[in-house]
Amino acid sequence: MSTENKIKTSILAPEQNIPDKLKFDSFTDNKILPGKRINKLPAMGWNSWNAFGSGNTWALTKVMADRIKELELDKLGYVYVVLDDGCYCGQRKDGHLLPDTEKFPEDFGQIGEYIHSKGLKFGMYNDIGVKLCSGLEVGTCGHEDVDAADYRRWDIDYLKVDNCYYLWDDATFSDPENARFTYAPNIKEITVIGENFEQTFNAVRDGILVGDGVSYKDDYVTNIGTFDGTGPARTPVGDESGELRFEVTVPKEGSYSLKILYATGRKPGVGEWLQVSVGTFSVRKTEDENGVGECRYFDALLPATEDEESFTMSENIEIKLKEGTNIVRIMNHRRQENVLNAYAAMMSELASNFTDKEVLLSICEWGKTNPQNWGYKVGNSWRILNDITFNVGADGDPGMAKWEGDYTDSITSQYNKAVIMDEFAGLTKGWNDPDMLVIGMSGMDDIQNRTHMSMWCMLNSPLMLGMDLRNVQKNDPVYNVIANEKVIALNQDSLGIQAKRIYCDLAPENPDKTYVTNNNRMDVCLKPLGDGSFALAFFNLSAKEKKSATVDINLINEYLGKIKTENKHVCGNIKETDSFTCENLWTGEIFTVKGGRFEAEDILPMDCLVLKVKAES
Amino acid sequence: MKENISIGYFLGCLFDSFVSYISTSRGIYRDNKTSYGGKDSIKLSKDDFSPNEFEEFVKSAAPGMDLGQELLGRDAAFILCNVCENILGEENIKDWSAALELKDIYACRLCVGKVAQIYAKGIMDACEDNCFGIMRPVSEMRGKEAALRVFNPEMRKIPPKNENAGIQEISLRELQGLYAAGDFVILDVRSKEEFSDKKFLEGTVNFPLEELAVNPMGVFAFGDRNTSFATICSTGYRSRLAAKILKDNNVKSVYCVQM
Repeated sequence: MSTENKIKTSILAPEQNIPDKLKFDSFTDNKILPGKRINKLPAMGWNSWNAFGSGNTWALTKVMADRIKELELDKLGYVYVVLDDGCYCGQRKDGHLLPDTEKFPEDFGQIGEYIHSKGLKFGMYNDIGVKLCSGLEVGTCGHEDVDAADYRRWDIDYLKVDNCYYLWDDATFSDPENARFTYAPNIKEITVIGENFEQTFNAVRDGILVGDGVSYKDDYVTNIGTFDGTGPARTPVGDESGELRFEVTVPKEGSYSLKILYATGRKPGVGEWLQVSVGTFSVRKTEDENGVGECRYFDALLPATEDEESFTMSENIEIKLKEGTNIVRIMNHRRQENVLNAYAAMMSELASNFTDKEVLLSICEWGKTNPQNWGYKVGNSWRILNDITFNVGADGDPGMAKWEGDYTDSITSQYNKAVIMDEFAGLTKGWNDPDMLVIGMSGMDDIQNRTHMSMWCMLNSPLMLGMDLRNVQKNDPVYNVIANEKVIALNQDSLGIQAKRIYCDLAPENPDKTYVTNNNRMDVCLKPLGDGSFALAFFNLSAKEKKSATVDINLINEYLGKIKTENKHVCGNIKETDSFTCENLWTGEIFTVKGGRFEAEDILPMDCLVLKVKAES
Repeated sequence: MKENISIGYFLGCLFDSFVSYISTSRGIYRDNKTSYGGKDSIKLSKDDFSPNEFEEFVKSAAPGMDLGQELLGRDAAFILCNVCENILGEENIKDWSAALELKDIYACRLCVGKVAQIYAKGIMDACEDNCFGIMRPVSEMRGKEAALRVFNPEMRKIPPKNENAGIQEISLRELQGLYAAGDFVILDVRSKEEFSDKKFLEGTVNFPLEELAVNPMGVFAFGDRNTSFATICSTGYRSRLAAKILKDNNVKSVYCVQM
């Protein structure tokens, strides 16, 4: 790879020259970066975090690898053994990562060798920031080349990359004042000046607001940027990145000067970084009808103003306009672009080191920068929220998880967001990741475990066990959940289509796109399968009440039609017929449904009914 | 004068406190789990640790800690948790909802559990602004106080559990006063049409009751559970239902405007 084309990161400033292929307007071009592997089903394995937190050791991990073999979990697909945070020494040596020798006395290469000798695959962890979440100062930022070479030497198969202490974002683990990078200034007006032409546009009167978040305040426009998606407040569906646009009509093609009346701040909603683009096309295209690419004329910090309501006129920004009506876009998509650039830098170095073997990239930026829009370019999966539990275990302590809560740390918080994200997942893209499994932790009973497992399988989530595997024995209740082959088969189905929610008693209109966080309800999800059958899962989200629901074949066919439009490859052909064979995947019971009505009656709180349905020929 | 302290200094405070309580008549007890699932308490003796052993033992909770570094809230939480678990044999408190009061409780996911325990057990209080100060230096006074409380259960100031208090009814005029005074989100829960027709107050945000009922987490786009929310509608009926939903979702301070 030539050095000019390298994707770079720096600890000094956000990368000035982000390649066009990583800019906001390219998010919908369906192009992936070299090295990104497609047609991979969701990864399955064991990750140390939920089980042992940063107290993980090689002694413990070795036992887990051995337990995977003893329990024959590898035969079910659980093959990745991932060392999460807490395995490195606190400082680099000569620029290289080193193990924390107290916990990991062996070289990482030897650890990889041991895991591979068991027929398993080896995963490791790092972070796009300057520090890992544990505070160890060994993040990859600026070290991608060295680290990728070391990872090749250690022969890893999987890399999870976190987003703590990232330098150019203001959300969790970062400096709040970094909002200056993630939001544009407040804008009052713009003036376009050219030969015999001068026109001023008022932001409130003439401006067009595009996307969620961006809004008027008094006589100016604010919140130009991308909201922070780490918490459960916002829906993942729709335009999350706001812009202020103006229609500017000029008499002739040529160079014009643009002046902007702005005021800066350093808090969510108002920043200092401005992007200016011109184009007559919509935001989600990279080329207009004449094949002219979008042109970005400004992409940098503006000089700070006294406060966020002290408006100042900017210097002239040179732009080119065409005769007729142009769209001038005032925006800041850096929150997404910077983070994508950081992951792309890692992926491009992995690609040049892993020429002879594949390595999967698991993006763990917690949904902060809406990775469902761009994750497919570089990663095999992307986390959609902050962690599923903050009460991780330790040696001798199983840790704790819960069914519901008002932040991200519950089964339902993760599920509620993931269940409407099916449009972003697929074999050519990657997978939404509602975080690792919490089966086997305190607070989880058999019913919750089985519903949690069913949800993650229906939603094509990666299946990373997060428990101490010494606490599970063959054929005990926990084993019977994690080792249910028929449920795992839903997750690993060859079509790779994430289930769609086709029924939700609180969202009768658009159950597949409406963000619902009230858990007093029943959902029904539909997943077409490679053998021409489909799975139907009824999830009772309520922790208190029994629930019932019925869906019929007309509704199922309506949504199968939708799924076929969204997925280019053909999915199972479900005939309209009177008789269906149903298999309950948790009890094994097989029964026939006539008349095309599928009923679930009095499902217990937090329980589920998962059916595999085949039309009888 | 609030002086910040180093990690080493804090360990010294802990050891001093350990030695002084161990010499008193009440002593320090360690809870041990017995093989049949019960518990017994062993009185610790002064000879159980030398200062060096004590330091090593406590530091083992957070490898990589440098004794010369300034003590931050998160370091204190790690160290104090290690004392509770490994020296005192204390079990973790299961219901740590009291710690949800802390504005920065989720600011560091490695420390959430530790900070929650130390706060809910009454070993360290919040700072004045209702933050634990996870990433802030710990003052000498606060560090010394915690070192005393950890070894003396009688000194611990256990905060009340986060139980939903009532919804406060206020008039529009009172609301105007409160809103002017500070951090306040006013949710107008009428329909979008009603809202665009007429606003009761400048600065209100519209979140129709029907949407709130389906997506209660949506309110956290306007603030967090520590933000004060007021609900308002045309008659006071919908706003009361909305206020109840906010309470059910752990919003701490909820006002409902009487029309």
